[in-house]
Amino acid sequence: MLRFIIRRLLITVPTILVVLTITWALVRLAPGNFYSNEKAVPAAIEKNIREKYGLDKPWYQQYWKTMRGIVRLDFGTSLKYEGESVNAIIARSLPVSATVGILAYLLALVVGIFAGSIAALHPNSKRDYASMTLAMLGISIPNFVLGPILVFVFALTLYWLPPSRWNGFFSRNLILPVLTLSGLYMAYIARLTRAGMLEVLRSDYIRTARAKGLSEWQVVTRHALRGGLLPVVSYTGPALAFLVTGTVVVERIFVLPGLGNYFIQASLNRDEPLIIGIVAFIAITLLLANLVVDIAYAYLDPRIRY
Amino acid sequence: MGTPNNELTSSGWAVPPLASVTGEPLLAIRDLKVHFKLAGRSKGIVKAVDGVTLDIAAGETLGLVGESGCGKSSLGRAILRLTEPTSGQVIYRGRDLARLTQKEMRQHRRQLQIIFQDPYASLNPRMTVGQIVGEPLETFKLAQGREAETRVQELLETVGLSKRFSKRFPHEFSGGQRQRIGIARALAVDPDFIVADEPISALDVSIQAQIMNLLERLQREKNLTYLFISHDLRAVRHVSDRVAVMYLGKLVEIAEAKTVYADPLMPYTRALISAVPVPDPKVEALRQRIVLEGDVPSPIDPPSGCRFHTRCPYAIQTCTEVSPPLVEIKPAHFAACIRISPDQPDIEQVAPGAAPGLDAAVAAAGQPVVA
Repeated sequence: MLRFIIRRLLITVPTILVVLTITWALVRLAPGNFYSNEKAVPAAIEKNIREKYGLDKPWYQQYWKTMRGIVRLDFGTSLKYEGESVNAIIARSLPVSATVGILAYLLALVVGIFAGSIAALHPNSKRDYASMTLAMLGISIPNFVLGPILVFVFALTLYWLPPSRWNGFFSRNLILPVLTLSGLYMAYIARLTRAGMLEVLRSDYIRTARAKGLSEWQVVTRHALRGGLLPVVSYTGPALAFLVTGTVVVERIFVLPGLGNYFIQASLNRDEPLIIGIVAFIAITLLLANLVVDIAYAYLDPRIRY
Repeated sequence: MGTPNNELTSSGWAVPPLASVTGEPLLAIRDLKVHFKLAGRSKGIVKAVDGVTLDIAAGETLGLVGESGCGKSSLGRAILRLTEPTSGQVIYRGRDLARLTQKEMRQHRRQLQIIFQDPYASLNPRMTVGQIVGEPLETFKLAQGREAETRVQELLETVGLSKRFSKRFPHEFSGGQRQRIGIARALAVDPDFIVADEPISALDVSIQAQIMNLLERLQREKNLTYLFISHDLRAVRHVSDRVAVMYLGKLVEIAEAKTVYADPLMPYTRALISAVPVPDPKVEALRQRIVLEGDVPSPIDPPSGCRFHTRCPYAIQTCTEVSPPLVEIKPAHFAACIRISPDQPDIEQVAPGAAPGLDAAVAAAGQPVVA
């Protein structure tokens, strides 16, 4: 197990370098640069700017400079938010994104597993059809549609909840963004749970568990869920990736000062250090999360040995 | 218990003498039916078990044989309510298991256990052997902590496994070892009655004998009663006191084990027994097989009258009309066929077209006989 973890961590390093190289190349290949949105500058001043930021050097020297910083976990300073280091921006915006993302995923897990289990325990019943219809809707409606609908209903029509903006970690402002973000995962997890549980509930060892004299609740919680949730666990890795793209949209809709919002701003601004910094951070997070998922998998299914 | 067919018990059923056993049966099955509705638009109903009446005496091994799909396993599971019976009674120590609530039935799982056919699929792959065997102890609060651990280790040794195995997972074991784990699990609650649902059919021939011997030893040591379900006729003969033959959801013949094999009355039983290979090439070459025509008819729409008439070489027109009851043709030897009777027990000797058992069948209509 330890060897497996070390091996996986070692593979992570080249993966991140490849991701960052591609990101760097894409930013460079895109037309324009970080000052081209401002008013036109005289040639002499442009020359000074290029010298100051090292843009006059050959590309491989610039690439090397960027990568050297990343290896030291120093992403440089933002070109747009002057004087602010990329690390400081990430440190400031991450808690916002993480709060929304984690709450959304937890909500999705609780509701999704519950709805999926109920559906699987009563297949082809009204409860099954109701939860699976909702799940189908949840998967089909994109978050940039769901968000405005929720705002329209709960904020602008019923006046129950604030429509947007950040107001601390435990404010009512979080309810709508979390709901918007978790809709898709809730639906997906409900479907995965239903499929996984149906398969496990059909298996012989569930009959054994009933023969042992366990109550239906014990049969489900002790015997069925552990196996039935394997698909949900393996979905956690990709889900985190989608969560990142999801927060980009949701933070934009609800005007939250999170990583996603900064990422969009950075892209529009051609703020190269900030783009690469956020991409690097997200890449590392996702790779580590996938590693955790694989370890959890081995715990849930003792037959898996790495 | 000496006079056949007219002695009524409190439940109102005519009870003939039990073969080789006396006293109250441990388990009395009365007109048990297990019907499955087919999913989808088709209105079909699979009659897996269709009116089985049977007594199982304490301490005996009742072998239950029949082709695949004849309802043997459904009957075994319905007794334990692992499949809900559609109608009928399963009377165990004076209580009808079929009418208990789920909660009451769970309490009875201490006394009635089952050994499953597939030792690979029936053990939860995510639990250690110790957890699998120990879980019933915890459920019924029979033992806890260290005591439970010791008990699990004793159980493992009882079934011939090392007590060190309790920390391992099922996939680390062979089929025979896994079946031993399944048996240890069934024994954990110290039951009186065990349904052995094809316990050896998934095992190598060399292992089958070991498991059968283990089951016999456990029966002697713990005074168990078995319903031994199998399609392996040799295995059933080896372990059973009595043998019941099932065809398409109904019992067709039941008698002491050696009688069923030496002197089968039913054409179907004769065909089954003639199909058993003999492990001696010389004898095997001389073996005369009775080959039945066609396949087992679908239990969704079983043949009218005697269900075997479509494949029976002795069938006459009346067989398609009258459903034959189990009749005590010879002492303690029951068969369901209108073409034989206590006076004319050998179907070969019965005049062509004659049905000496017809009167008994008509008289017994609606009055099941307990075998």
